[in-house]
Amino acid sequence: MRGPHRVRLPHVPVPPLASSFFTYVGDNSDSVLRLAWGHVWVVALSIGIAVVIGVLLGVLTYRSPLASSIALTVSGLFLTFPSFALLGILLAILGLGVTPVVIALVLYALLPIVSNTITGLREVDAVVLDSARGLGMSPVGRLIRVELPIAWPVILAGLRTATQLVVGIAAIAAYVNGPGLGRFIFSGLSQLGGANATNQVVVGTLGIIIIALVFDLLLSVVGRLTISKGIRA
Amino acid sequence: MTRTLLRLLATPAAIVVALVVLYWQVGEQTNSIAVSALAGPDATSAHAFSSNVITKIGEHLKLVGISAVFVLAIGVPLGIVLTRTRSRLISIPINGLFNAGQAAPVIGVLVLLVSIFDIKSWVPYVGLVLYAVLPVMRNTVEGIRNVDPGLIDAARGQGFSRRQVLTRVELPLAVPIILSGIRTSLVLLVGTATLATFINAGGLGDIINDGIKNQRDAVLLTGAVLAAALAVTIDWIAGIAERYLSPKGLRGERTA
Amino acid sequence: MAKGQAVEIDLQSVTKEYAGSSVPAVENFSLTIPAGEIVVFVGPSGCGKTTTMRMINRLVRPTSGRILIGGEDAAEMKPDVLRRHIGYVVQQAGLLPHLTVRQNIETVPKLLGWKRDRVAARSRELFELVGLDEQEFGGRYPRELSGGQQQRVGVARALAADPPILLMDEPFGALDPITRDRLQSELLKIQRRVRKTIVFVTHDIDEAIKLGDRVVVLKERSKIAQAGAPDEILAEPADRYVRAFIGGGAAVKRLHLVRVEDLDLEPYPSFTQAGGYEEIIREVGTGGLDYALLLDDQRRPQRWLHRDELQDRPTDPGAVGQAVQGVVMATTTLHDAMDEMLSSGTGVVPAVDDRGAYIGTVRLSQVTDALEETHHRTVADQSDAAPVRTLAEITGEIDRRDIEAERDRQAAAKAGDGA
Repeated sequence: MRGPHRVRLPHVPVPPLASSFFTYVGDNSDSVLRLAWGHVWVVALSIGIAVVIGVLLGVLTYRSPLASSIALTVSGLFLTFPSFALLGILLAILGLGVTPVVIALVLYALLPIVSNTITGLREVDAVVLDSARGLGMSPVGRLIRVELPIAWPVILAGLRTATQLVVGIAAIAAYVNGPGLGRFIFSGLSQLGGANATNQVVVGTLGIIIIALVFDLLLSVVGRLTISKGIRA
Repeated sequence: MTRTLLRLLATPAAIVVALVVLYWQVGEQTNSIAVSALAGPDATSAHAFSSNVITKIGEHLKLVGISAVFVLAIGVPLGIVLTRTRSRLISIPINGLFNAGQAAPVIGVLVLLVSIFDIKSWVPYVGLVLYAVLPVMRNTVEGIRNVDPGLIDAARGQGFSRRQVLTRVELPLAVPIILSGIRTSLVLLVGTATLATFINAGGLGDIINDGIKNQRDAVLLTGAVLAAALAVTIDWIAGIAERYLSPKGLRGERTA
Repeated sequence: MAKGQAVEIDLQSVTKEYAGSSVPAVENFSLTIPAGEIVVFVGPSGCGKTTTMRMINRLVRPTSGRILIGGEDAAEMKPDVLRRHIGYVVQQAGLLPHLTVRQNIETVPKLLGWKRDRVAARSRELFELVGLDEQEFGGRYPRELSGGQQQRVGVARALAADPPILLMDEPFGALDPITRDRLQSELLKIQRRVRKTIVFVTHDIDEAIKLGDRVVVLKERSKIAQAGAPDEILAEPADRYVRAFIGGGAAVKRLHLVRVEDLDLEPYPSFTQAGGYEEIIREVGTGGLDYALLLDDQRRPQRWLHRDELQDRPTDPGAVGQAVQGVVMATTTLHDAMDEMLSSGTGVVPAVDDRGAYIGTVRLSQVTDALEETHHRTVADQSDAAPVRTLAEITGEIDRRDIEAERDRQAAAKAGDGA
């Protein structure tokens, strides 16, 4: 059933977007590429750090229900914080710059990585582990040769989620002087109504979506290359 | 039992501690000029500061609350509709939209909306709902798809109509997963609402932004800690609701 | 430990207690397992047999007692090092799913730091030993194998570093009966070549009798109800528990103890097509026999041809006569051979060697003779032993087995109530 009152969209004067958008990108290809690169770079760095910390946390805690629930609660807490608020808090502590941005992104990336590492490691078949022990593999040997390789698809899935999340949040980081395509969005915002405002916002937004998709594609290729055929879904 | 209780109370305790620390830190500076920047030109007192903070919290809650209603009203039915269609013609583009939607930066979407529609009172809601509807929709789909086909078969075998199967079997069983999607959405809404400040829609983001612009850490921290505390509180309440609204037989099962 | 050389295992008053449990899982268990023998622990689930076995490679640490392996105290060796010298096979094989078959087999040699070409040479041997084609299976992943194939890989992996000891924890428990039978026979064949000290855990008394040089029947807390050679246990069950555990059909079970190769196989007339008919017709005639066996060029049995059909000298003998229904291997037990005969409905079945080449035939009468023989050996001092029976009675017994097993179980339950 349709209600009698339909929301009527206001008349929108369509900006000459289609024609001028590509011109705009062409004219500003230098800064588009530079900021896109900055975006990629800050995301990659943060994810890199988060993987090291997150997998380590998972590995250290997955055997103990208490320790893992603490690790999950704490990393979950960071994900609960509004990104703007967390950035603000870090800013107050560390001042403007790349450092608070990277720290914030790392904190956001933790939960999916930690939780998937724990899940992945716990899902390793007990029979397989027992037989690895029976073969005389040391605990470290088992972790490196058996548990982590078998948990890897799950860990990688967490990594993909974390990357998607962080690519988006990095946009806000631009507001506190972080590198990245968010600059276009905020610059468009400050010139709202100006000639190129919409173009700038579109460049920033679209660029970030593209970066997210490229990262995802890349990680799926990494999965193809690194997940053993014996356990691929 | 005591352990669950402890866990239940740990979160509010932590929030209270955070707020007390904040008050103690910021309280000392409430009379300084730091506050005037925030509280407006005609108010310089601590009282004005705190009343302004309360206004901002109110605005924030309004943004979250109204959006949440729309998210529910749109997300769940849309999710149900998606599971009714067998056609991949529909599900593939929808999945693509899911993925692209997740990848889209909220701030970009918000600014894009105002750059197209100008600053209007409904614009922030559209942005918030667009963004927060995804987890609810996705979890509705997933929750219904997760229902054991054997159960559906059994229900059909007993003579349930399709609609009865949906309302008496599929939906009740999907409730835990749907609730967890709603919880995710609520947290997202609180977070996204802090960005409303950029399109002049108020909320706690205003305080954070003021703090950043005027380089007043006390103000910045006030906004940030309050926003964080609000998010954690809502997550906590939603967590409790999630536990008690799930059908009894399903409680205690982990929901992702 | 000397490579490959089987060693004795000596368990001395071994006890395992778990925290929070008032009764020990294993209580004061003492047993000497002679070098080079297969010792089977058999008992109901939960009786502690697996725990007992797992203490040998220290997957379970004994609470008290000593375990000497080749005279050395196992507790004084580093567990990981100890385990690398003890092969271990578990149910469902426990293969590492992310590694190929070859990588699985090479795990332990690599852990031991063998040189690459030595590892490769060894895995070639192992593929051959367990009857898997290296080209076909080496690159596959465990999930691409059937249960039986996985278990072959499990055995190969356990034997990879040529350990003196092999521990097997219900390795064939999850397989279908036919595959299980075949793998049991092959394990015996392998053991003949490698001569390890094997500790084998199962709850299946038939498997225990078929495989064990010695069978150890266990009851709760891993108490030894009876230990001895299989025919001793079948002939003289120590108590009602053992009797109940053996179940019905003890006489038929004894057929597990004799193998086809132990019989004087009859050289039934056989021929290949290339050899022509004249000689075979003569041979069949002088022997006064009705049938001759057609072999293929690798001497594998193909068809039975009646002497009338031979007289026709068919150009394509593959089109006449009767296809061979079943064959038995040299290592097949008479029990399985009899099964084969009964199911194929013939009184004669060809026997073949490892490669499937014909080595002679087994007649049903030979099986029944062997059955009487095992009785003569044990019947003398046994008051309640079953009298020698005709084949009809025995085959009837196969069908009655379930009923009798049930009756025995009830008897055991009653005995349990009384105690």
